[in-house]
Amino acid sequence: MEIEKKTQGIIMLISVAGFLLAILCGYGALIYLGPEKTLGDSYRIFFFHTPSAIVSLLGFTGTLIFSVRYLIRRDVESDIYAVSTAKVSLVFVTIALIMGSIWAKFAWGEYWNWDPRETAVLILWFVYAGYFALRSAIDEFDARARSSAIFAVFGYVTVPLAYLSTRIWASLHPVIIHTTGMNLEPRMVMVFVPMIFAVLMIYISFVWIDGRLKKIEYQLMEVVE
Amino acid sequence: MLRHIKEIAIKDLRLEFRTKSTLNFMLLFALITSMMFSISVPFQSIQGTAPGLLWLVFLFVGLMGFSRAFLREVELGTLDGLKSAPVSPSDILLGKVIYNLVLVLIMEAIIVPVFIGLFDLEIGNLPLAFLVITTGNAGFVVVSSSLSTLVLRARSRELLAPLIMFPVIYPVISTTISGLRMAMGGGVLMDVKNEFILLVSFIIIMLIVSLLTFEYALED
Repeated sequence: MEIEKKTQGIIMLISVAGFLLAILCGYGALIYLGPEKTLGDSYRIFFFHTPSAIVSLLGFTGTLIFSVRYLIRRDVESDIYAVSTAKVSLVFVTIALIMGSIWAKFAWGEYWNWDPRETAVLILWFVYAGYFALRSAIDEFDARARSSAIFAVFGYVTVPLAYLSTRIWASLHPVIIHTTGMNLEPRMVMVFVPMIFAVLMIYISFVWIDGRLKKIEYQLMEVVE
Repeated sequence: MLRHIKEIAIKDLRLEFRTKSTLNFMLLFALITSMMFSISVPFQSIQGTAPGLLWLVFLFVGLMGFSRAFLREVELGTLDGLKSAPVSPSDILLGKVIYNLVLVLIMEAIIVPVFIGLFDLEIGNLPLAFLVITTGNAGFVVVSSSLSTLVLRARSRELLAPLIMFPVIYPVISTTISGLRMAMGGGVLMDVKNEFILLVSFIIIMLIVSLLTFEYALED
């Protein structure tokens, strides 16, 4: 209980700091930075679209880790966090998809271009939608947790594929992050990198809140039964 | 180990050839889908769309057929017997994969000629087209054989199976189609080198994941 209280405090701090940082970076992206040479003002959505995409991919990696942990340990907690990370990541990747297609309309002329990365991320979206479909179709707790954990391991192939898609196939998406550094102006990096951390902090607090809620629900179910 | 895999594959094949129920259903289904495509696609655009349609026929048929390998064990109540048999889970999986591969080869031998005849297709490089379809189907078989065990205890599993399989095998679907298009246009093996690298590496990765997780998938 003591540890629970302590983590609660840390998470509170992370979420508040995350929101404040996001507001600050939002100001940076929308007001502080000037319009870009070729894209004009439309490029500002980059500071929201890309961090949520990056964080969702990191989040699905979390789903993989918790799923493998469930298969090894068979504990309720791993299953709960596998679901929470998948759920919040799915929301974030949906946001990234919607923002991306709005930006594509301005930058490339059409909402949807079947660009390799668009396709790969859409497939990833279907994988994790399928993950929840699979979970909703199995009633028994152990079978549900086990099947969905195995499926999460299979489905994870789409995550590196989504990340590498611009490098494997010719894509409209630019490659931003290289091994040697970032393909951005220094002023943009100053907004972009903190924004990733802000979104990540918001992500972590959402996962923690959702996971805790599920844990309480589970305990309640045990008491009722 | 090899003996066990062979035993399981032969057991399933023997069972299948006694009734031929799965094979007949798959064949009929493939024929009826081909017919549907034949009446719904205008004659002029056939040559361009044919590779996609042919591959779709195999996807639909595979989706119906491959999961039967485990569903039949559940329906006949023999899954527990299989689990308690002195063979390792990976032997069971590989046995089923080989059984499904044999089914697919039989289907290809029948469906491809019928399809070519039905649409009056000109195929540039027939052996290569066969090779591409077979490799694509091999990837499909590996994934669907192991994923079909996940839905065994689910409600409305026939509906759920394509939902979880298609996104996972999407790399196979898209790569096979581009390879098939190249082969039908008269390409040679070197033209589809990249497709083969992608397909084979996908198959290897999926086989490793399947073998690692299958032990858990078979548990009660």
